[in-house]
Amino acid sequence: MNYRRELEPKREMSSFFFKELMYDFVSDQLDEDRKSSMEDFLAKNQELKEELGHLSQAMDYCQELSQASVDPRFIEQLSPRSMSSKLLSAAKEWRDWPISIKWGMEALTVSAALLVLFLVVPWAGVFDQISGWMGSSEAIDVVQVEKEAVKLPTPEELRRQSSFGPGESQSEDESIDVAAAAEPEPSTVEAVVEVEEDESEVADEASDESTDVVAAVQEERPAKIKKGPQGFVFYGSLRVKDHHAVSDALVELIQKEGGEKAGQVELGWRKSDGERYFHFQIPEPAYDRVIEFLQAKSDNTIRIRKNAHRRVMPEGTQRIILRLNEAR
Amino acid sequence: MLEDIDRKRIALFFYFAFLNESLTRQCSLKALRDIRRAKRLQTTPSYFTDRDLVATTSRVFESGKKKQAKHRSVSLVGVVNFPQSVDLGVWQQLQRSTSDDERLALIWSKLLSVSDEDISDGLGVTVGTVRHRVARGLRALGVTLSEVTAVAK
Repeated sequence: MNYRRELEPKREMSSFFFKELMYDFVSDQLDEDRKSSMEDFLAKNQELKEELGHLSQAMDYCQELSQASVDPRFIEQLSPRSMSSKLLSAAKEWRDWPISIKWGMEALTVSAALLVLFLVVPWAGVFDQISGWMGSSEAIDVVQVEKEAVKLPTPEELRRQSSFGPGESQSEDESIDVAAAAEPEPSTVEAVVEVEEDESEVADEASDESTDVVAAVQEERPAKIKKGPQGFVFYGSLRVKDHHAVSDALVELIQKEGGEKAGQVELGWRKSDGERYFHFQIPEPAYDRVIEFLQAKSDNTIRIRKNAHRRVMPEGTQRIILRLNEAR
Repeated sequence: MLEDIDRKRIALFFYFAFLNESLTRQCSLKALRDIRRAKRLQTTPSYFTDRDLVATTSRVFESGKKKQAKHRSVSLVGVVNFPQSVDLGVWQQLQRSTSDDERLALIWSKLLSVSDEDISDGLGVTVGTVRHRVARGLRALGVTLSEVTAVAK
């Protein structure tokens, strides 16, 4: 298209354009027109000649610099051929290991750490410490069971117990008789003979006592009785003249002999029907004196029954239940 | 495949870029590691090209530049051997008078003999941009040389 070039005005060259195109000019990258234009401009400008000279020097300098060689020892350090550098580079490049190997190494490390932990740490002491923080490590007794051979009462004993229980004495034979009083051991009282059984009195007393059954039962029944060795209780009933005075004297005698009430009610408790009720314990030696006292006050014989009872008194002590009524 | 010549070119690039032996070693090792990793991920084996060289060294240079503050001192011994006629001080002075783009373009184009097309492919810029950077780098180098010469005289 030569005619187009002839029609187009020639572009003016300037120092700025020359400097920008100087590298292309030196490296022969320009077309003929641009090149000739630059040559023409260069011929007229000394400063640009110097610039061009500087550029040529720079290129020569780079040419010389490119001949630099790297020290073989430095290349050796970069090369993976040496074992030390291999190991060093491998250790540093663990992130580049295959995933399976990395996971395997991590699993191995964790397993080794756990194994050491289980073998070294004193776990028994640790658990004891933890249990101590949480509370007492001692066993707590929830229920205490005594494993002792318990002798179950026979049906006969059960019948007697229930019949001679406090407040249940209405079934007792209230006749008064004294067994050879001087029984050496009160515990041997069994058969007491001789007597004047007043059956009517028995019936009356049995009915009279019905109202006092509850109180007497509550008073007599011990709060807590352990099964095991059995105790005894002496039951007696007596009709005397002026039974209140006799009862007061009996209270003094019992206290004088070292006795005391064995139940909840006071000695010589006055019942609603006038009966005086005694439930006391007394040392064994004083038992005879009490019986003698009562016998002296009564025209009738005193009948004392000894029955087994679950309540066990201390050794050397007798438990006695007496009922005093006015003689008719 | 990575040849010794490639390792030398990588080392030369970082040496001229930082003028520091420690940084040169670190960045060279990192660049080689990146290249090996990239090769492992490739499905088909390929040669290490000039384009790969430019891309890798450019990337590693950016990370190495952050460490340059800790390695201010210039150590010129034991890494590169120069011809006796070469004054490395000029290049050292050039580091203060040019930008990183111009200096790196100069290193790839004139020192490592990488073509302008490979440089543009590696950097992701046009050929014209590459030539422009090289030209400005050469002009700055020329000015530095003239100043050094004037001082010497």
